[in-house]
Amino acid sequence: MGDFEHLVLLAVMRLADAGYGLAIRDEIVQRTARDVSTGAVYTTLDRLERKGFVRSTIEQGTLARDNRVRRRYEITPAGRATVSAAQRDIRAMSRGLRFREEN
Amino acid sequence: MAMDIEAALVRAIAPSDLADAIIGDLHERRRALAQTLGDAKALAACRSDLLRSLISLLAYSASRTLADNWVFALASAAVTCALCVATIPLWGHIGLGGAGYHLLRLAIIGLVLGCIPRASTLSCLFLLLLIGIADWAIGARETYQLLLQDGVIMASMLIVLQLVRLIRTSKSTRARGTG
Repeated sequence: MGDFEHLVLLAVMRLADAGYGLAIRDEIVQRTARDVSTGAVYTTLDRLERKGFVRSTIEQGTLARDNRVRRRYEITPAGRATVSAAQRDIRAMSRGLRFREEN
Repeated sequence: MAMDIEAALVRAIAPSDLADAIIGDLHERRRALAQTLGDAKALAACRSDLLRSLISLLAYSASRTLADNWVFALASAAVTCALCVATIPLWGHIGLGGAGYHLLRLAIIGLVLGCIPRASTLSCLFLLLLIGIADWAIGARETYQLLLQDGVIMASMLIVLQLVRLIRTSKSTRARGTG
């Protein structure tokens, strides 16, 4: 799993029932200050769905979306297990290292 | 205000099952930004987002098409190539063997393969590869020039088809906006 896929999975987990593409993008932008494009988020979500880490449902569009459908993403048990394993690895590899905090 | 060109661009490039959601997100984001930044800046922000999205969408569409359709595209190209090789003696026999007719046939092949949903470019690439192998096998002279010429003709047809689709999508999007 790549770095950006990891971030997207974490965003999907954080948003729980509100895991829409736009919300996922905003969550990553706000928390990481990365300049993330909508296209990059959707291609990553589609890749994750093909790997079985997220699943999506299609919902009816609203007037604000020009009546376009929207996709709601939620994490699957396989996705949750993958994130847990990745977090465990990062913690294990980071233990004992010192990082400069940027606040 | 509708974003016809942007929507048509996303439809032309993004995988079809993602395009509508992406266009919807652009509309939603633009409306939200317009309340705080004004319409002009909101539109500029959405266009910038779209421009940055295009490369990833293009690369992803290409990789997905390759992964999803390569067997089908290869089969289409193989059948077309076999028909091309089998009919070589026929064209000269009925007086259609000249270079002009050859280009016309390739243009028609490009149009036919271009109509294969989401595998058209791949089919043409496979066909060029197979034609190249066939040319090499029969020891044709100027193989590279012939391949380049065939490739340009088929690529032109694919571009024409893509433009026609783009215009049709743009028209239908505009009709939806006014309807």
